[in-house]
Amino acid sequence: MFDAVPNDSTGYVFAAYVVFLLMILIYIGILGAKFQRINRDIGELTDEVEAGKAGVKPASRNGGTEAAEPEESRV
Amino acid sequence: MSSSRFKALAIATVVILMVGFGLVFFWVPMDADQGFKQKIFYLHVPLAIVALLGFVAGGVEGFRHLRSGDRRHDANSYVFIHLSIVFGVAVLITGCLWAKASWGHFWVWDEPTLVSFLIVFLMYCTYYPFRYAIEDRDRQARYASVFAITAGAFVPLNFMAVRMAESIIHPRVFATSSGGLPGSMMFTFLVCLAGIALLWVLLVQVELAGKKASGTVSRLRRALHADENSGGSVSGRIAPNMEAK
Repeated sequence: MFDAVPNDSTGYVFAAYVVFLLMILIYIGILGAKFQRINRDIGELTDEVEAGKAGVKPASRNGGTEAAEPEESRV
Repeated sequence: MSSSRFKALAIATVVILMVGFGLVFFWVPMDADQGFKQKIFYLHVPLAIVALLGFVAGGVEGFRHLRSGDRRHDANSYVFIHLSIVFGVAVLITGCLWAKASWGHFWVWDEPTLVSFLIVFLMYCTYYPFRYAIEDRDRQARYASVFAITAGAFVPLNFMAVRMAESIIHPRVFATSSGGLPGSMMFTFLVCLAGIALLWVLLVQVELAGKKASGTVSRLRRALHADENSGGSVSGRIAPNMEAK
């Protein structure tokens, strides 16, 4: 069972740490994208409120494509 | 959490992790038995401990949700389990790499420690489809809490069963009759454990802040579009977003 044990394990050690760091970076990237989307939503709501105050129909920030984007995908 | 406390937590996490990894590679002595590959221990074991404790904490939050009906506890439970699954993936990957380096195989099926962790991990992977299968949000939160409590109770039971089982090759590092880790290794391990635990707490806080913000946005959108009946799609959300009941 243990005949295939490698003598040099340096690569495995560094691979383990690199995988961990990559996972954290990817996760932070996903969180960053989520916060960007929330930021954009807040911007849209702000526009709508301001347009409502001025009595003008609000224009979507992303060029009116919002309806095509299902809400479920924003979880 | 205030932004200054959040910043302090982020700095503390980065500093402690860097110090911990610095100790691992530049200070702690090489293990006499395993040599350099033992250094995966300082990453793999803290990740496993934090992930398992996170699962248990998710169960505790599920219990608090059932007792109080406060949706914040449901959101906490969801985020705790979510983060612990992410950490669980890291545990499995680092464990496989360590196994390959030590034993020559990425996975050993007759080793209770490995298989039991995989069972726990796969059990928690069913949390998402289980939760997402229920449309009604109150029922979804209640059932998810019951799942979190049941699975959370299974984690320590499973751990004890594995400790009592006869291990074939997986080492029993702590609480051995021969004394366990030497001081320098234990110190380095505790620093790494603190760093990983802080990282988990930090990511939980970021996730919860995101859930809170998206809940507020949904509420504002519903309030703005109340007369247009366009806020209904929010109920299609499957993850808790800390909206007020």
